[in-house]
Amino acid sequence: MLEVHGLTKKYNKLLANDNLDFTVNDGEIAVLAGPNGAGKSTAIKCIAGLLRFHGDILICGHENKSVEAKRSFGYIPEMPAPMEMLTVGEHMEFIARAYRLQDWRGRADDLLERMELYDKRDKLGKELSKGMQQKISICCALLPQPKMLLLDEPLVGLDPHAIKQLKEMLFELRGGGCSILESTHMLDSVRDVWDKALIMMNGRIAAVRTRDEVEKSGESLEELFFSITEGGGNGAGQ
Amino acid sequence: MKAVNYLIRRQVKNFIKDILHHPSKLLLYIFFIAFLVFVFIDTVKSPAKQRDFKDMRLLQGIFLVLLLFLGTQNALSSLKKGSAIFSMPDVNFLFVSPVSPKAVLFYGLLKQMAGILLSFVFMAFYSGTLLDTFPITLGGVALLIIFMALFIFSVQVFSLLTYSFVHGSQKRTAAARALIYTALGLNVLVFIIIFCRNGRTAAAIYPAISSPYLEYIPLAGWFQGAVFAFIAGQMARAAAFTAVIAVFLIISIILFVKTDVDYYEDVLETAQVRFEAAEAAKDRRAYTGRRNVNEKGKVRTGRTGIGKGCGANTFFYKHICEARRRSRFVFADTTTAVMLTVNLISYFIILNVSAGFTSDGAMLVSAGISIYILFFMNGLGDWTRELAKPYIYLVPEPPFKKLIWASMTTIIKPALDGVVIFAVMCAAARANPLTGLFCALLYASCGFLFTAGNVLAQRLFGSMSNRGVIMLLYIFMLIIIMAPGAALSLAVRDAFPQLQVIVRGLPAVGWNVAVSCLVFYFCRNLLSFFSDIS
Repeated sequence: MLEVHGLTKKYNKLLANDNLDFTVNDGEIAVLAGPNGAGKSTAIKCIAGLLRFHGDILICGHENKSVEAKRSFGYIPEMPAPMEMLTVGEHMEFIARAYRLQDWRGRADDLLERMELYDKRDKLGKELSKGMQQKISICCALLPQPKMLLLDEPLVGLDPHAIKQLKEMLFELRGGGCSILESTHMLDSVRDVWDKALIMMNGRIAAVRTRDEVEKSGESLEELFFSITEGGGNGAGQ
Repeated sequence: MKAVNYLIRRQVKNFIKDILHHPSKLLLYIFFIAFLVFVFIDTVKSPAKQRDFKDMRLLQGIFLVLLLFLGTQNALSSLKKGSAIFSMPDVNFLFVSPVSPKAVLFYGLLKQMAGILLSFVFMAFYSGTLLDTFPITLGGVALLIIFMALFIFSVQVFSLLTYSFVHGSQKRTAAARALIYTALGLNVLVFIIIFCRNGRTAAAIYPAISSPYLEYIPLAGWFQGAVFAFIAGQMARAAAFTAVIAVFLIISIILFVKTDVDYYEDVLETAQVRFEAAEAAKDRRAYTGRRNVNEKGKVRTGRTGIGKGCGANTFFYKHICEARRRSRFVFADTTTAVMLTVNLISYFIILNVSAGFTSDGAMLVSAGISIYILFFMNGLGDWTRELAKPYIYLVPEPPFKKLIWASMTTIIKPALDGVVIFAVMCAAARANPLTGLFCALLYASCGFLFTAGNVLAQRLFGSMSNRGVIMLLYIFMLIIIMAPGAALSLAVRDAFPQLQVIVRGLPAVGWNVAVSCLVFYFCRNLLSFFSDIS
């Protein structure tokens, strides 16, 4: 479970995140949507413990920068950055050792198979294409079997097979009780997977809707998104 | 052409405005200009010093070696990827616009020239040393800097022409590469012949490095000939060389324009590579984007698997695995060989050129030079590379443990390099083994201190965006940190002159190690936040 209370992040004078409050429950896929510059990536990076911020972020009940929290979450960054001199297989070994994982080899092979990287497991990080770099990022994030998963625009550069696999993996993780937060500005890409939508605008959460609420109201996610992002950003409330 | 003029005017104007709007940048430029003014005033006002200057021919040799090194490196790199004249915004906006490709080329060349001249201004920092060491005026130093920048520019223009000619043909590329090596080889050959003719002694180095024959070898020789003719006041000779260079440049540009009007493709790859690398640098990511096909095959994967490690120390074993890929001897790599070569060369130059040095003394000075180089190379260590990846922050281990293990190879490498370098040096120089041991210890402790300094700089200035200011502050910070240890050793030397060098130097070594440990301890939470160092 992810709990975010009063998350505020400032870059000098720019208020990137303004007092964000939201929760992602166990077994829930939340989508952090918003136009470019809305503050989605900043929020994700704050939650991943990469940036300083004001407020409280709890991951599975632990403060997000604690070792316990880090053990519980996986993070797929916007810009993949593999280790150039490690092979694909060694990326898996590195994560397993760094996270002190047991019996990980079968799981690693399975992840590599699903991302079509298994036959490339002896390729060096520097030899991978952009898409493959993203795939290895995904495998690294999922190997420790996170209870909470953060994805920052994860579909950029992925081929259709990998997109399909990633969506399936997200459903499996959700089925296993993992709470998932995915940031995106491409609503089409999350149409089938979301349970809760957090729509950001100008550093704030302008609206929170569950899939049930949207379906019952007859309003589509796109309509909600455009009513907020093109209509001033404060119309929808929470 | 109007559009290009507008672009140039706007860019210059915005560059100045940007400086004025950023106090840190403004401060840096003011400091830099003040330093130059100070050097100028100091030179003009100081009475002519009656002192033993070094032979001007030595400077001539150093200048030529620098030109050959920079020129060969630049030409070979341009041959692989094309010339680096254009940037990605030029590609995206200018190349697709209805501006004539010739006007675009003119703009690119002008911008490149200005960029190279600006990047060479930092050489002015060495002007004081040059003025103190050689019988040269401030005008002479300025000429050296300007001609060095002009040389790089000329190499790039020539590379532009060469690349457009060889692009896509392996045979032509190999021929062009052979041509570059031939020019380099000719210089070496002339040097060896004249050196041997003059008796192969230390004194024979001077006529060999300043031989007029070297001045006839394009392209470095022409530049060396021109600049030293100007300095010597031989205006006719200087004008002749300058004219040859000008004709060469004009012919290269005309040929390029005539033969390759559609040159955009030839500069596209480098523009993209540079852009992606710059973007990665901005985000503090390691550049992993497009690579030259030839570069891919160079890494031997060899044995796979990290093999050891659990938790934080996995970073250490990962670095060992990566080092194994870079060099089959793990820690002993190209850097070790380069440092050893630099040490041996500087040792023999010091011993032969400067009177009054014992072999131990010369080795100590060459150790000082290698520590100076280590300072610049330390920033390229595993530790710095690790900061560019998210894993160091995400791995669920205490930040202090991660900090120690992630920087371990960066600390060990100079220690092992020091042992190799000074063991070989000791044997070659037949110097006192204790002096060799001291040099190795000093080198290792400085490596540790530079890594600690890097950690501290990340802690203190990590979030600052201006890398130039950071570098300046980093240097000042290191001087302050190192000073007490050096002062302590100097005090011991003065108080007990009869003591062995190693004993006199131990306080500095001990201080370096102690203060480095303290820095690591005080920065133990550095890896808690990516924002501390991004």
